[in-house]
Amino acid sequence: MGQTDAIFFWADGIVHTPLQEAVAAALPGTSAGAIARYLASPVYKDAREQLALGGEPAEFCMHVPDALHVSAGAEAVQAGITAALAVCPEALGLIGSLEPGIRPWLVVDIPRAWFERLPFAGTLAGCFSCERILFLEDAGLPSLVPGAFEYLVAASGTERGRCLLLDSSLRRAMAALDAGLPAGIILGTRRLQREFLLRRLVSQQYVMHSRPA
Amino acid sequence: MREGAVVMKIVSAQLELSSDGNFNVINLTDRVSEFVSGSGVQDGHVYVFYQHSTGSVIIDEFEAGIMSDLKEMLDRLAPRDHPYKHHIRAVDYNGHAHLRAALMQAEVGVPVVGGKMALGTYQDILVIDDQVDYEPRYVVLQVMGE
Repeated sequence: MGQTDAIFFWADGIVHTPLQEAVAAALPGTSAGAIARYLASPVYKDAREQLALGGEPAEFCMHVPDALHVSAGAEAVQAGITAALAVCPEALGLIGSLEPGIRPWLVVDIPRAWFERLPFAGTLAGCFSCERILFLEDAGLPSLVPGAFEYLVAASGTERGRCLLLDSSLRRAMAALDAGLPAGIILGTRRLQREFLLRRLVSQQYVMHSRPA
Repeated sequence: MREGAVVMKIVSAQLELSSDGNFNVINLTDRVSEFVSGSGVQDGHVYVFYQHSTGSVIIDEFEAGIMSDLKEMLDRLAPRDHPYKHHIRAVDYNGHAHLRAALMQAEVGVPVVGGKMALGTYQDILVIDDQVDYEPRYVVLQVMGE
């Protein structure tokens, strides 16, 4: 197993509520089936990618109700989304238990304005120093994959093989592997804990006080 | 009913999955687990059946490297751009997905013990959808036992 010096945590779905859940929460009264179909659709994926790459949040918030044929204003959708987004304190607790030599990076693919409004956003500073929070909207990328991988590795100044991307998107994690960037899929805090233990990323003290979930 | 007879319970449900195919992997473990808990069955078996001929349901570790390796293997065995005879019909162009489905299976079963699925630590129930377009997919869950 290669040594890991830098870990990129893709914030969406690991460190904060998945945006998909926040979008669903922002449209109360819309059928769950219709929302699920929309969230898996290519039109949503395109809109989501544009948002991650720096697209206007208002455009995204207009697109969502339009695509679902729901009468809701962009401002109400945006307010619903930001109200539903929250930091996952359990994940932060785990990230805080990493071996001291490992540098955690946070990869943010939602608008900076939304991120800064996250409840408990201040607690992130305990895990990620400011220079290690990367907003993809600032990167000027033409596409997320594989552009984001090159951007992250370059920003960290770490050899690609000594980096690790942890992501809640399997497709992106697979694309990272194809690009030579070690990657893992994380769905929930228990999986994050298991991944840390399996890859021996946490301090011995933490290992002694925990068991794989 | 005879006194002391065991009452066998059978509970079924259909799940709709939103998927855009093209080796889309959907982890169903939590949803099947919730279904088993809600059924009240303590000891028995749960079946997960994928109702399509262009995908499969498997039990494996949900790990990016394994999924990537599985995709590579399927790409070698049944590449997408092969001139499949299925395409002569000119209805759809998903010959690779049908062959991949034939190599795997449409159903998995898991013992239910003490009201929970007896899955191993690294086992997940995964739907692999290889259809070429975006459509709802359906899975039938059936738990039977006492």
